[in-house]
Amino acid sequence: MNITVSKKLDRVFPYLMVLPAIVLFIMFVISPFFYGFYTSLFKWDGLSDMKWLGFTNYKHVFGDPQFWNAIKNTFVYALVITVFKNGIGLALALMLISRKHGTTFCRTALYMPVTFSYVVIGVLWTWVYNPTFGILDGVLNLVGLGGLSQGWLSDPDIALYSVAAVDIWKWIGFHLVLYYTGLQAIPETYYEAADIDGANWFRKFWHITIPQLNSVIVMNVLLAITGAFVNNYNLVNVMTQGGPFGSTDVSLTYIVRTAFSYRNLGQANAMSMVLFAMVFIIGFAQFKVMTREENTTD
Amino acid sequence: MMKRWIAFTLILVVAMSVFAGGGKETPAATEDTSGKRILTIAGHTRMYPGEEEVWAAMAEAFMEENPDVQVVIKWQGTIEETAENLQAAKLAGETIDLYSCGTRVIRNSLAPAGIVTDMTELIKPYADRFASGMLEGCMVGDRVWAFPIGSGGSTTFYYNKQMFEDLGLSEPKTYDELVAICDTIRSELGITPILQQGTLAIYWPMWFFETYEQASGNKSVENVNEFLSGERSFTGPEEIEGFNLIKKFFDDGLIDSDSLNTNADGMRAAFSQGKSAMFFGGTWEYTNIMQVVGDAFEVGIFEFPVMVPGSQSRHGTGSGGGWFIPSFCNPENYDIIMKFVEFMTRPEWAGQVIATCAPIIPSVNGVSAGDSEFIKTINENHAKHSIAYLDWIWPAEVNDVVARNIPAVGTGYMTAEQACEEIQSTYERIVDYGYDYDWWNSWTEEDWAAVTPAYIPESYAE
Repeated sequence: MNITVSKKLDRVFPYLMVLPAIVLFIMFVISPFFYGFYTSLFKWDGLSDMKWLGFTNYKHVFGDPQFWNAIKNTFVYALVITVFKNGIGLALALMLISRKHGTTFCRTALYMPVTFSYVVIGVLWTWVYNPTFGILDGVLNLVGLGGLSQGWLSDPDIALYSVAAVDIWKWIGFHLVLYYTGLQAIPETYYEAADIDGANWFRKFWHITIPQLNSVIVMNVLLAITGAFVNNYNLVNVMTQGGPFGSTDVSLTYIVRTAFSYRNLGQANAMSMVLFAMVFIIGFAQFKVMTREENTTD
Repeated sequence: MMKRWIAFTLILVVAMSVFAGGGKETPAATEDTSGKRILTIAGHTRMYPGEEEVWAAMAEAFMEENPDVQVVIKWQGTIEETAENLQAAKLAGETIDLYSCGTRVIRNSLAPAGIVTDMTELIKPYADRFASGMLEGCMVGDRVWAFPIGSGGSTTFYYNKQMFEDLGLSEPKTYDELVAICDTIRSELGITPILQQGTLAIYWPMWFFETYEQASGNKSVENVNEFLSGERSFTGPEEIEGFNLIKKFFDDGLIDSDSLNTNADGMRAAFSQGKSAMFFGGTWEYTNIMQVVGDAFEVGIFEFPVMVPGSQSRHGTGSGGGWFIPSFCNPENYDIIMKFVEFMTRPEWAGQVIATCAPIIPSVNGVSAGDSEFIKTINENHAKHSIAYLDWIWPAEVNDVVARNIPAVGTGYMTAEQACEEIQSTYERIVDYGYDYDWWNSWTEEDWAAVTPAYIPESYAE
């Protein structure tokens, strides 16, 4: 009898251990999500009583050119930072893995911006980009490349990329560390066998490194994409506030503005739901596509 | 097994501590333990050094004069968080008897939401305590929703007096004179004559207030009222001209796209280091700019130049800080609320509060603004040529499009016609969603009942 009770407790105990976390997750993540969806069906300024609208908020969101401008900017931003964070992160990891000395210093130095807050970084880079006394234009002028000086944050064709560059700079170290760890896990014997077969650097990279790193790449790309969609508010808000002329307005800045400046929480929540659906579909599709080979093998 | 249960208990304790913050709301107390009536005043965290201390001293003095009242002060959050904090207080069942925040928020968000008590009858006995035009800034739909305690602000050009003197320049009255000055500055010093804090979108509409006022023959406020009532399109020649006049500043090289990449700190730094000669901003920036400039040079001001012959240069003016009675105040407290209002609008107390913000145009009569040349100039010139801030009238959605389109037109990214069409379509979109400019006309009796004081106490004014 005691053994039976003990076995039952063994089975139940893991669930009991995670129960508080699940309850908190439901309270602070799942419930707000559903409440957000619920309020997206109302006209609500956050102060007066909610008025039922049904899906009218969604109709207005889909017909709002500013929302679509923000979504377009978000996609461009996501594409740029996903490509560069992963490209540069992997390139740096490959450089560091082949070095004997100084790797710890390099990793620490490159990781350091990850620990800085977006607000600090945003203010710092706003000054770096400043046209009157910014260090970037100053350095370009110093080395005779003054012709490359741009209105880094004032030119609507460039501003979004300038902000994205800061995001890339901040997170490069994070992706570098993940790739570096992934590279360390690849058995050296694979490369030795390839050397015997006479494979060049590119073939080894393409046929050994990339396939072996696949799961790390999937994770890195997923983190970069989702981060680009849901974690760009602070940087954009500090650096450009969505300007000039809405050229850096991303979905989050527009949603926050709709909620707290326009006092339209219902419509802002409808936008959030649309954004969630997009991120979910993109993340899911990316995960499926990038793990297709693994799934087939399984 | 024991370890498991200890681990589980610990997790449970941690989880329960998170829940501890929740709970059923309890009605706010109307009396303290000694039987005194509680008067709760609240607002965003005070912005000026020494202001909190003045309010605390004022509360103490009020309680001495009214020993049956206990004043509770709650300063919380930033000025931008006003609506959220009020919402939280209301949901939590708190009673707040007086609340302080920006007048624009009261006019544009809080009053239409029915969260502000109609003070029209309550404030009548004290109306003469406010400087001319200040109480009017708190009126919407012929009703008074708040009263101002603070400093009125206006807009002005700031300039480096030393630089002007060195180059033999004098303050311009007209746009052509300003162009000549900027040509001289550019050719002699090779610097951008005017550098703005262009990353802060809220500053661009202030340019439009000026140019539209002139382009409309000094009827911008009337035009905007008609526009928001649906009686006028924003795509007319006066609106387009308002944008084109700003574009002239860019086309004539008075201002360039560097301003779009400059924030408030950058603008002040460039100005104080002589890397720019002028900027256009609010009079509330005087204290900050003087802190940066220090003794390096004298700072002068001049009014926005006349660009349209025959029109008067007039500037947005109003008192930023307002006090109102939330509609969820303690309905039995109107007597002590108004006693406190009478107390705080006495020049000796209002003066102390207003003094903390280096006042330009005090909102309360009998309060001195000081005798600096800057304040004299503002009061003798700018204050006499004032109009309402247009962004206090039009909704935030329209203001955002105006703010975004001004630099876009200036730098040739879009035409004035396109800018006006986008503003018009934004207006039509929010109307389609239910925006109602004349909300007070469509309020039901029930709506009005919710914001009408339960009773009007006697006047406490001497």
